[in-house]
Amino acid sequence: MPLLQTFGSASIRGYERFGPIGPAATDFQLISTTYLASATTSVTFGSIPQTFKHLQIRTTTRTTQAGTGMSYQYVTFNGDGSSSYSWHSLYGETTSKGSYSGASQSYGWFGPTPMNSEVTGLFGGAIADVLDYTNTFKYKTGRSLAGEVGTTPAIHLDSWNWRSTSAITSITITDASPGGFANGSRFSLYGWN
Amino acid sequence: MATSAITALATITLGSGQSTVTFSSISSSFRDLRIVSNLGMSAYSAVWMQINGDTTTKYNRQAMSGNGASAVAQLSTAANQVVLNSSQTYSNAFESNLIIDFLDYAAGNKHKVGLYRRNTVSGEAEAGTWRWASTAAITSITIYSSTSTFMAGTVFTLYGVTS
Repeated sequence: MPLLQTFGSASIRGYERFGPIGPAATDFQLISTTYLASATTSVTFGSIPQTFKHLQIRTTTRTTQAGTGMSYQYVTFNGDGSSSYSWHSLYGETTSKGSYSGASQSYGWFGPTPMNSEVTGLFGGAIADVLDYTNTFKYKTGRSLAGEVGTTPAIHLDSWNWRSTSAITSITITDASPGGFANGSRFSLYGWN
Repeated sequence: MATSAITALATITLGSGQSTVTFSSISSSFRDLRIVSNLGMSAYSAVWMQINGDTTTKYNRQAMSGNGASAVAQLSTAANQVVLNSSQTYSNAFESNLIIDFLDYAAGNKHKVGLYRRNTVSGEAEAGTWRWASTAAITSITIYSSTSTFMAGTVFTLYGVTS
């Protein structure tokens, strides 16, 4: 349904959803979405098509870890849990700001997620991009922007590198706490050109 | 045939100065929304956002920014709006970019959560996350300034992302 609104001397265009605007229909496509109906420790996008240039992951998550505050989530590729990851993070948490890094780690950081005793309905959000994921000449590099505004609010900008020239065929996002992601958490994978 | 997962829903181009822009009657048929803008203000000022015309104290925001001299982390809780800047405001030139993401904007079991990035060339680079403490679907988004106006030529575009 188009949006129709005018005010003052502004102009507005409303678009029917009859097709893509500008770029081709295949330029940004949904690959799959997982919506949790029960708690799970990790979510895996497997058999990722090799037909795009880059990938984008969008999530809204909460964990079942008891307590208020935040847990963390991390990302691995192709089931690789070896020390092949490095990452850097910028963060703002209330009025505290800073950065940290890790080299030769077994995962990349994916940002904060709220714990189970936070107010009902509170989820954290994240958007991550993985560039040139099929390229077999390059190590794989990505970044995520993630945050939540609960008892322990946080905004994180993380970048990570997986030191492998393998094409990415699977991505796993894991809750760092023992509880696992709560039902209602959503994970979507997109491919874009 | 493959279908694009991102759809441009509406573009607002200001023909003259305006203190408020509103996207309304937003369909609930997408999963996420994104607003993209290149904007300038008539005078240095903050830019705020409200959802569904809600002026109550349901808005919370955590931001981090840097202006080359210092870094700032700033929290706003139980506010009447989301403030889309921290220590530096938007300037009186077309040198600010603003991208606001709304994740699961129609989910009836979630507070509405989002992310934003903005930069003002003469000011700072900033990223933040916000939460509107309501499980209502987002049907309208208002972006405004209470102390100045968006310059003529400022453009806001709303996109829907499918899931």
